[in-house]
Amino acid sequence: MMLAAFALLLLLLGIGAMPNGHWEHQGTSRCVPIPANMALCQGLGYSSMRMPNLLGHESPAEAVQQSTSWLPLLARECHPHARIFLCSLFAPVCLERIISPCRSLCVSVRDSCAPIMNCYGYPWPRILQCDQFPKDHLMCISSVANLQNGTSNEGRVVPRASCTDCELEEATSSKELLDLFCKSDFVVKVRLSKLNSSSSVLTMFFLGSRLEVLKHGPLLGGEMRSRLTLWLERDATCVGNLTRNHPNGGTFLLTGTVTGKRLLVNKAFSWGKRQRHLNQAARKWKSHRCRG
Amino acid sequence: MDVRMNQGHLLLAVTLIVCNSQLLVVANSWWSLAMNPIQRPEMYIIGAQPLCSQLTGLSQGQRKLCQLYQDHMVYIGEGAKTGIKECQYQFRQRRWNCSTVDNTSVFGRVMHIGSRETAFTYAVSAAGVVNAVSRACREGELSTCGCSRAARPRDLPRDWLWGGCGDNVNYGYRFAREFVDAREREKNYPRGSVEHARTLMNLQNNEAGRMAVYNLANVACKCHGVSGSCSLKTCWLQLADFRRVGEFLKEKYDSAAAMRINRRGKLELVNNRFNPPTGEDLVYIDPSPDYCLRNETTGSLGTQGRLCNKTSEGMDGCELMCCGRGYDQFKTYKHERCHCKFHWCCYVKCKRCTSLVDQFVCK
Repeated sequence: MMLAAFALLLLLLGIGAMPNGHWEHQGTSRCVPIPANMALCQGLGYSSMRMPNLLGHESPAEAVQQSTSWLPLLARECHPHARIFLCSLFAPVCLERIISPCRSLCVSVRDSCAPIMNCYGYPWPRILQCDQFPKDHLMCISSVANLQNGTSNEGRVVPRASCTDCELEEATSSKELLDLFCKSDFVVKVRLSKLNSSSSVLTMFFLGSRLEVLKHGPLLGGEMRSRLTLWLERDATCVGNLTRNHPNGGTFLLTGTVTGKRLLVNKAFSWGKRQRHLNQAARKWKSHRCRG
Repeated sequence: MDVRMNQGHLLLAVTLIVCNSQLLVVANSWWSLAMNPIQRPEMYIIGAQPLCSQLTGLSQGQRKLCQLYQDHMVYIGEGAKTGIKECQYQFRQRRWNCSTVDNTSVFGRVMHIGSRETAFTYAVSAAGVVNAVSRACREGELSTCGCSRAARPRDLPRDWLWGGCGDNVNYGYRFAREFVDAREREKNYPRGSVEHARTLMNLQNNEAGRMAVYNLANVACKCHGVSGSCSLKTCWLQLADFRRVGEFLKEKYDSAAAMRINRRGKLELVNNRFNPPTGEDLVYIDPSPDYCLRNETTGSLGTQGRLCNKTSEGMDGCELMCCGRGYDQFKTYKHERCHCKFHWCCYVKCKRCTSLVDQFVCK
């Protein structure tokens, strides 16, 4: 009898003695609905978020405002789980304890998306440094393997990061090329040569001395070289795509767009001796009239 | 003859009044606001006077402040609750563990002893009020205060912005001083008396609690700019986590100064070889009871039935916790959630683990 009473007392004491609230942020955290204007985090499968969030935003309005700058990156679809990763920080799911992204998810998203951000001149931000997140365990949002069960991204391969998906193209006709020239902001023939020294890992090629500009577009005469040099430095993915089969460099015809102060190569062609269509198009371009 | 008779009656009347006041003072405390939460602050707008007068535990001056600052009362209650919880955490492995006895006197008769435990309790409660009011200002809950207007720290890098909405620690400190100390300032005990010593002790410990929150407030910063880069950084004044305040005051409790009152009505060190206490130190005027046995006079609950740690040599160990009376040992099943896993999207699923554990209870 006494033993049973003590046992009951122990259980009660044990329950009462359990520490709680250790996972709470400083100050009270609370659940709030994900605002309708938070486009970043709609349709992920949950509708309420913890506030303050994991980035220190104190109000839903602040979280929404800061999240909008990430929308252009996601439009590039740099990683199938970029949204899940970002929303685990901007609009963390509201459960009894904090669920943060795992380090592996962060690394996977960063490796795919950081090159894209770099194209636009933004480094991977300090607030998303991956080493702040826990190594994978059961209570964090893990990488592709775990998420595949619950999402519609099944079977999708993590894409190779690319600024504009620039690739070497095969020229099929001079007419097609002339149309491309008309649509592009610039057309330029360049020679890329491999650097002898291996001092800089990222920039492995430099521009040849002679640029043959077929179309200036919005760029003035002297600007072409400096813009191409910048592109060569920043768009490592695109340059890598062009030189994949030309490890020592080569001559290329580059076409693309100019946005503000940045030049983006969208399509490129390898200029070789047997490229009949390229030669024809270059000759015809001198007297070509683009249709409105 | 008549004069002598009148004097006798007057003395008797005065004695009765004093005893009555003593009883009233003894029974109540503003900590009771923590035990009877004020549910709807809007009710104060409807009937301001009756509700303030109905609140138990307030002194006359505090009741006037209640009428003037109706919207503050919820946060005073929250602050007291925060203080009590922190006290129970810091003393969870001690013989006296800050247990609450009832909803009116809250801690019971132990607070009549001018002990170090009483000193800590007064300090951490006052700190709780500073904390709650400062935060309520920032969140726009109070009509008479808003964001902190603290000056920009001199050592803040030049290209960082000072702004944002900081916790208004300055206002919280000043309001807590007015409210919490009101009870002490109303008293008129003879200079140099035991009651006067206790009043001075309370004022000192209240101030120490407030200063702890004030001094531990720190600068917090946030990155702004496109895509979360730190191209723009905004900083503001932020309250420290209240656990830090509790830990700070616990250290002050461990090094509290023993005081007595001198003929000039000032507290002085019992042992003048120690340094005199600063405004941030805790002080006490009575030795602590040992809290071993239940004692209706001291208000000690005793440690019979308390859990203890057989392998510990600290205060939570069975030898010290049980005061040498010994302990009983039981085996009991402990159930807890284990192997919790987060599933997308979105729930946490745990298994239930059972283990047989030894538990030790003071005799």
